[in-house]
Amino acid sequence: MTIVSGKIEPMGTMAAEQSLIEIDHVRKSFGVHTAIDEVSLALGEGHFVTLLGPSGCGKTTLLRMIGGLETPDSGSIRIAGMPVASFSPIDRPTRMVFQSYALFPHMTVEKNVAYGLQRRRMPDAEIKVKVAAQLEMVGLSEKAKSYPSELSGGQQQRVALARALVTKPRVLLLDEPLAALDLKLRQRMQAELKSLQRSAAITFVYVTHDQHEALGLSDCVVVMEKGRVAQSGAPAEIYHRPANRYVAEFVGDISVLDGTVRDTADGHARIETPAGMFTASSPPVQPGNKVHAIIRPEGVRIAAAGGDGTTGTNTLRATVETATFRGADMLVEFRGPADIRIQTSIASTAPEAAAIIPGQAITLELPAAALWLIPAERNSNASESSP
Amino acid sequence: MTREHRIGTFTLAAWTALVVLFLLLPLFVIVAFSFNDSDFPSFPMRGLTLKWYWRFLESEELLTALWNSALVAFATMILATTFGTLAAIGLARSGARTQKFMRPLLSTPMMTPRLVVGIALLNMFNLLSMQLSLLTVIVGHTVVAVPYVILVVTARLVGLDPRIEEAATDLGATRTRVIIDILLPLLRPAVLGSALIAFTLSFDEVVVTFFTTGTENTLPTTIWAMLRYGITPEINAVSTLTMIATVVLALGAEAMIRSGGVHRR
Repeated sequence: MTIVSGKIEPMGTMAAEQSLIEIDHVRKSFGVHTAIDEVSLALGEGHFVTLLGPSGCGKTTLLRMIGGLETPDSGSIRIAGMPVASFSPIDRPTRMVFQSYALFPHMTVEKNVAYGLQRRRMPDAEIKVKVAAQLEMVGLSEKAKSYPSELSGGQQQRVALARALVTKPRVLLLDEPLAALDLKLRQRMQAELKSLQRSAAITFVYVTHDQHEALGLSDCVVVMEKGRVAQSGAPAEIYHRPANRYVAEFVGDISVLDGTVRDTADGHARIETPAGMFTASSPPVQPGNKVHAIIRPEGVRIAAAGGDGTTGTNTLRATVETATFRGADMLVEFRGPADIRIQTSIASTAPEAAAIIPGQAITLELPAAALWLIPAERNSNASESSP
Repeated sequence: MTREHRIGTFTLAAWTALVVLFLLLPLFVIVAFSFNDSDFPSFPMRGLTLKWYWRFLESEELLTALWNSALVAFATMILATTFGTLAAIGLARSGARTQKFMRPLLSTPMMTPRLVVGIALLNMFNLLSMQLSLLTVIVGHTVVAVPYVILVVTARLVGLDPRIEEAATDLGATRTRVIIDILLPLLRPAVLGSALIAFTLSFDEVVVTFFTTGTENTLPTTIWAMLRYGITPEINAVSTLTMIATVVLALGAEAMIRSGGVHRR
């Protein structure tokens, strides 16, 4: 058990495992700008961990500190139990894949991949075998004698991966590696990265600002905000059980009901809102707490077209404001009592889709399982888990 | 409209021709007179001859001067390129504040009038009790040439992705290895180009040479001394040769610096 200061467990199931990377109260500033502010994290071996956040949130700085390209101002980073502050890059079990690939433009693909092995003073014959095997693995054997500028973006990406992987790192650090690729290629490379990570059994720490990429690839997502960890956990946990509004909005769309907690019972709370009483799933809250009840578009259910019948529990009457056809589904915006806005998506083939006409009144159900409570303000609620 | 346009085009062409003529005519005159079969530079030309070139090749004084010039220029090129390139790399890696302070400081010798640089160097050599010789000339020329090298190499360095160096470091390269394996090959066009610039600068430098040389003369100072007896056709011949060499080197430097792309074999 090596959970640092007991604060953050990347995943519930990981707590029992040995953490490979332990980041302990790390701070880093550039001039007056604090890039990383007291971050503590423990990342498990063999996991695909994503550092997610907007540009300037410190995710790349944190990655570079793990890789030894930046030094923390204070705090420590341990990899496999060893403090790595004094390690030179060649002794670190980490290797970096850069955003722009950073291939050596004056060397062939082969020489690029061989470079790390040459620095390790491996015999030439052995290097040749390993480079050939690695290029085979990424499917670039016939490009061995090409220069990086003669390759496509996806091929350059594979060379960058091969160059890092051939040195057999325990941790691969990836800094927005797919940002420069177009959508189709990006999706294919995502799948390749994921299967590569599984087959090589290497820990990936992956930096991205794309929440779809983060949710789709990761075992663990660390959402960052202004140099701090806003929340870390499994993708489903981050998506369905966000710790605060920042996380909730960063990883997807939400509709919000403001309310006050009236009473609580095992994982559920009854809240009073301008639209009536609602039951919601919740982290530990106290009666009287001001909260936001949030719901993802796909959690909202259309209970009855017309909405003139008696409303049941967790329902509200709303009028269709706008309906946007998006092909597979329709994005519908409702306006409820007290100007509450509810967003939902409806499959365009669903029977109730026909009733969605702007101005139409409809009864919506917000199921208790899909309605989640987050604190209305920072520091006002015991459930706040960010450091 | 079209007529006015045509007149405009013609005027511009004529004006351009005049300017070019003004710039190049003196050079043509030198070249022409170097082949003139006459002891005095005068038109019309008496006839064509190569004797002034032969006279140059027979002149002990001029050949020694040429050798001195080549020696000084070569040494200056090596020293200035080495110092300048390393300085540019070091500067690029230092903090913004250091750069802001150091960059103008390092280009001072380039901005200062050569006369002042020459006098300053002479003073310094006197203070250090250094015997004036070709060695002091080399030192002087290096001082003048280093800023140019820094300028050219820096221009190329800022265009390099710093992550390429980081990638090499990440793969286990030491600082020295990063310079040898990554930076120098990528900077090669700029380094070679600035080497040619340094050579050319030194080869026709007069003022600093004048102050820093002892008994030896370089080609420019020899020509300068010979001018006391008037412009002889010999001087025209030497000047023509110097001009051709310099132009070739300068064009080479430019081509080298322009070839920004990656070198392949």
